[in-house]
Amino acid sequence: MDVYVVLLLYLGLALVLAKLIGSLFEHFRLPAVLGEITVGVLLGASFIGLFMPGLTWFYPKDEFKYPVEHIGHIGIILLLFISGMETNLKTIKKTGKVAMISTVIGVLVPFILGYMAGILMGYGQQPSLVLGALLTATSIGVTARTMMDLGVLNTDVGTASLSASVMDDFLGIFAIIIAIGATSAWAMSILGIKITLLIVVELGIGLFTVNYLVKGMERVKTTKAMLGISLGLMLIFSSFAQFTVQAAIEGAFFAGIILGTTAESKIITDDIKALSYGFFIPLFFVYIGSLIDLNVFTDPKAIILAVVIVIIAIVGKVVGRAAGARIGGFNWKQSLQMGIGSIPRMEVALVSIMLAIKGGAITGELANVFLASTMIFVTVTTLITPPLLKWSFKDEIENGNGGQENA
Amino acid sequence: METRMKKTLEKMYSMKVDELMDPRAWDMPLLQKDEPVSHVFFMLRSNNHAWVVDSEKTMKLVGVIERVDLLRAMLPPDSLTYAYGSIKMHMKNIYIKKGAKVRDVMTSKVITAKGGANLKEIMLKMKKYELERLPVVDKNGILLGEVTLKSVIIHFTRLLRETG
Repeated sequence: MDVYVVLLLYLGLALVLAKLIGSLFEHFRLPAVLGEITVGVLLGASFIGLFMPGLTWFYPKDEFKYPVEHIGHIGIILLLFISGMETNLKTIKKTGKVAMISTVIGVLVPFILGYMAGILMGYGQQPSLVLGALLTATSIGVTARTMMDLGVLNTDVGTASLSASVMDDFLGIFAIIIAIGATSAWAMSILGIKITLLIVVELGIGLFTVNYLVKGMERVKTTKAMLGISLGLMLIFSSFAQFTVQAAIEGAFFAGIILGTTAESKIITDDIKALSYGFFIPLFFVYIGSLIDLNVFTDPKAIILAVVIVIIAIVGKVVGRAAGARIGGFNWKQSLQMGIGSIPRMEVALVSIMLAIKGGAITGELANVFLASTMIFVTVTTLITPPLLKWSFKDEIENGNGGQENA
Repeated sequence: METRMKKTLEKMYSMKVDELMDPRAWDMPLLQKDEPVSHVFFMLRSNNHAWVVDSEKTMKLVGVIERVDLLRAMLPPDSLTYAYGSIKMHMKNIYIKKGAKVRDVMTSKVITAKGGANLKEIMLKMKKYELERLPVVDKNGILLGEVTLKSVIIHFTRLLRETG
């Protein structure tokens, strides 16, 4: 059979199932992303191969492999582009004291612990840095939703958690650049120069010229010109970031921040979201799910790694975030609540692992082991957060401070 | 008749926005960014929108609020979905946000018209961004007044009468 026939069918099924299963997960108050990854696992070569080995012939074909991979990577770029557009530099500056300190310490502690664990388990310098970077950024979705259900989102802890999430993502994607680029001390200093170059060129020049740029774009009469040119700029920025620091997403993120400062970007936001959430982003999550090699789970090394990083992911973040919140002025209880709220990891961890694999920081069997462990730790951290949060807020809920729960 | 329309339209295209702007700037629906959010709700009972300024002294335009923004602010919070990078929606919800101010529910991306612009540019802008009203600002972003599609239409009919 023609591979093209299979490719179209695969993409079609992937999209339909991603949206359906994603919605089912939402119904059970779980992130839709987890459902999309599950679809990926179910459609992946590894799972299909267990039951119908005859059906896996097309997976390794170039005509199948490359389009699927590239669509997924465009999905990551769009994800970070949107994130950049929604990131208001002024909001970051206004991040409260508690949120600020707890974010920084909450990123550093799991990063360092992850790195040390990697070294102790003998993974070597660079994979260990990747391990640390994977553990840095919280995914606020589950926490926000659970706090919502518990009626405690409009407390000081809730507000601080939300505002911490913006900076957390910001630091998280920088951590992975460092992990990929830092192959040696020398490379590290070169990387510093490259990052500065990237920031100066993209953010600096971009922010100064964006208003003229938008004025120019307004004059272009072609249908959806502004959308097309903006996406074009996003890709050019990505290309430059890929060239300098091996992280296309950073360029997309900067392009998003820059365009997001203009009022005119309002008219492209909906179109970009339609394109992204309607096509590329779900296909990225399906793609990453499909990469999981289920055989890895029979490897004791993978199981040990998964257990270790699950523990570090939880302990590192709770301790770091809570310590920061305590220093920032919260009481012990609030600090603990804030720490627990920072346990879930999802999008940034998945984007980071893809980047580390694409950037060659982890390869071969190691990549399989890391990927599988990442899947386990994002799932576990996402699932345990709601009950833990409920426990930590039990006094507020009983006293009716938080209102009724409707979970 | 045909030429009359054409003539009137051409006359209108080259008109400066300042000629048609309501000079009574104090009549515009105006709020300061740090007022409590309840003020917006009262104001939008009878207005479709409100311009938000830094303060009434500086008159620097910082945002706009339309009724649909208030719908978003009032939605039951469990109806909000959680896609990566979409937490801004939650911060705009007054059920979640404690002690919300006007600035919390406003849109800070405002499409503006510059004083001195001609009506052709204004109309094209209205079409492009699907807006029925634009704030008119000077080069420092100080709010001078507003121009609405309604005022454009009223002006057109007036010109039509004159030309006739």
